[in-house]
Amino acid sequence: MHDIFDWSNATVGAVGLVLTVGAIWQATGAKKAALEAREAVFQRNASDSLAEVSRLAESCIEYLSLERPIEAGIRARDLAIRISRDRARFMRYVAADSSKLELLESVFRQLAVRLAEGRFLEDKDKAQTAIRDVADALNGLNAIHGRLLGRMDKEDK
Amino acid sequence: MNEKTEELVRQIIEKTERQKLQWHFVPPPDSKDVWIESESYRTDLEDGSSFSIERTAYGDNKILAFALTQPGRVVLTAQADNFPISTETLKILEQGKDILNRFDPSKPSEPVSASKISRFRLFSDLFYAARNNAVIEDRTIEKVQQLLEKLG
Repeated sequence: MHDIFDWSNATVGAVGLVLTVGAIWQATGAKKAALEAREAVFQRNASDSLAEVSRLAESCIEYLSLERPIEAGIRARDLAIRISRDRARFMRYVAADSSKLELLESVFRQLAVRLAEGRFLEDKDKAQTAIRDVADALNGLNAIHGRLLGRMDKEDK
Repeated sequence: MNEKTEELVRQIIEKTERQKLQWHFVPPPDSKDVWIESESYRTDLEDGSSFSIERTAYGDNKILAFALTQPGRVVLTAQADNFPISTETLKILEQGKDILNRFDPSKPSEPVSASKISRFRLFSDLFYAARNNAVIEDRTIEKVQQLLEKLG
C-alpha cells in the first residue's frame, strides 16, 4: 500500500514537473513573440515616419517651384527637425545611414536659413540649385526608406 | 491653345536670353492698394506687335500675365499663378483625371499639380529673363552717374 502511494506521488510530481517546464517554455516563447511583435511595430513606425518625411520633402519641392518661400521655409525647418528626431529615435534601424541622415538634416537646415533671406527664389540659378538639392535629398531619403523596407521584408520571411 | 502659348513663351525666353529681344520696364498704373506689387516689361517687334509680361504680387501670391498685342487689338493673353492647390481640390482633380484617363489610357499620367507648376515656372522664367534683359539694356543709371561725376 505504501509503495502505491510513493509511486503515485512520484508520478504526480513528474507530471507536475513536465507541465511546469512546458508552461515555462510556452511563456518564454510568448515573451519572445511579444518582443518580436513590438520590434515589428517599432520598425513599422520608423518606416511610416520616413515615408512622411519624404512626403514633406516633395511638398517642399512644390513650394520652391511655385516661388513660395514662406511655406517652403516652414517645410525645410520641419524636415530638419523631423530628420533629427527620427535619426535619434530609430537609431537601431537606421544606424548604417545615420551619417547620411545627418547630412540631409543639414541640407534642410541650410535651405531654411537661405529661404529666410528675402527674394532668394527670385534668382533663377539659386532657385534651381535649391530645387535640385531638395530633389537629391528626397532621393537619399527614399533610398534609406527602401533599405529599411528591404530589411523588414527579409525579417518577415 | 495652351500648348501653343507655352511653345511661344519658350521661343521668347530663348530669344531674350540670346539678347535678340530688347525688353523695357513699363511703369505700373497708380494703385491705391499698397499690398499689391506690380511689375511689367514689354518688347516691341518690327511689325508693331508687342509681347508683355506682368507680375502682380500680393505677398507670396503671384499672378503672371503674358500678352501678345498688335496696334489696336489684343491677340493673345495667358496667365499663370502660384496659388497652392488645396488637398481637397487636388483629390477632386485627381479623381476627375482618373475618369478621363479611363477613356484615353495613352495619355501620360502625371500629377495634376505638375502642369500648373511647369506653366508657372515657364512664365516666371520669362519674367526674370525680361527683367534681366531690361536691366542690362537700361544704362540710364550709369549715364546719370557719369553726368554727376562731370559736375565735380
